[in-house]
Amino acid sequence: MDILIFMAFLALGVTLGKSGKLPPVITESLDRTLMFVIYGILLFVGIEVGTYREVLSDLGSIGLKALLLTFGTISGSGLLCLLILRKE
Amino acid sequence: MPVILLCIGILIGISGAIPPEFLQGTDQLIKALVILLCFVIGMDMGKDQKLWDNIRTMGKRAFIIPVISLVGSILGGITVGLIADIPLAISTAASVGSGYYSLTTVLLKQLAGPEAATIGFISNLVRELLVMMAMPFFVRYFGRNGAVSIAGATAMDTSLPFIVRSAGKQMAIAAFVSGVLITVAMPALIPLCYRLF
Repeated sequence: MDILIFMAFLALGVTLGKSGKLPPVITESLDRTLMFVIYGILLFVGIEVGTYREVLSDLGSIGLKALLLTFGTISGSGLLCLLILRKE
Repeated sequence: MPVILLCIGILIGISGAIPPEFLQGTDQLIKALVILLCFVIGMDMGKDQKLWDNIRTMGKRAFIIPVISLVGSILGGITVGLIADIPLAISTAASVGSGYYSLTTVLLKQLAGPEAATIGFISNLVRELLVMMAMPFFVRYFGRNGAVSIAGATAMDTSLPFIVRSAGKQMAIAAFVSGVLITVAMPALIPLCYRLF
């Protein structure tokens, strides 16, 4: 359901942007607005992560295995893409 | 700056300084910010005419990248599983989670218990955080398509703005579609990997 809402707002934004009717005040401040939204998302993602307290406090060998998996998935998805689609 | 904000957030969350009623709302708040984000990125894309000439060629990519991303993640999961002595059922199921840590944690808890859930939680959380913080690095070494592939499920929301900033506006549609397709496939893929390996 969320995806549909995201898509609707993306489409709405594109339509407004394409129409050329947006006042310069808005079009010129898009970059800065984007920055603020990004910072907001980071802050709140952080807060949400911090609430998983029990998991964060009890790491050890499981944590190491998990980090290795992160390294593996990032390398795997990145390298396979590089191999198939070349660097662009 | 991004790293600092994230750390401040985590510390606030751990400290318990925020009342639980508000914490239940953070999920909604993030959703609202992502909606605003989509709207702003949409306007930014809409006013850029050159972009639309490129998008047709990007369309096909949007469907290839998620497949590459998922296969690459599973291959990485198998490799690390063998090296680090993690049962392949768990390592592949956690890997295919593609940064979608909430769903991966819940599904792995049901399928394989709390230890597997913790592995799924941390590995996917760190993937999401790294994608947000190291996007310029990924674009530089794996290319723009590779960066979207690495972003996995997060390409449709949390890492979308970072992809747009580092890889350019023309990647926005491909990133969004790729993230959506991976996210939609997730509830089926995690149990499938768990049973298959």
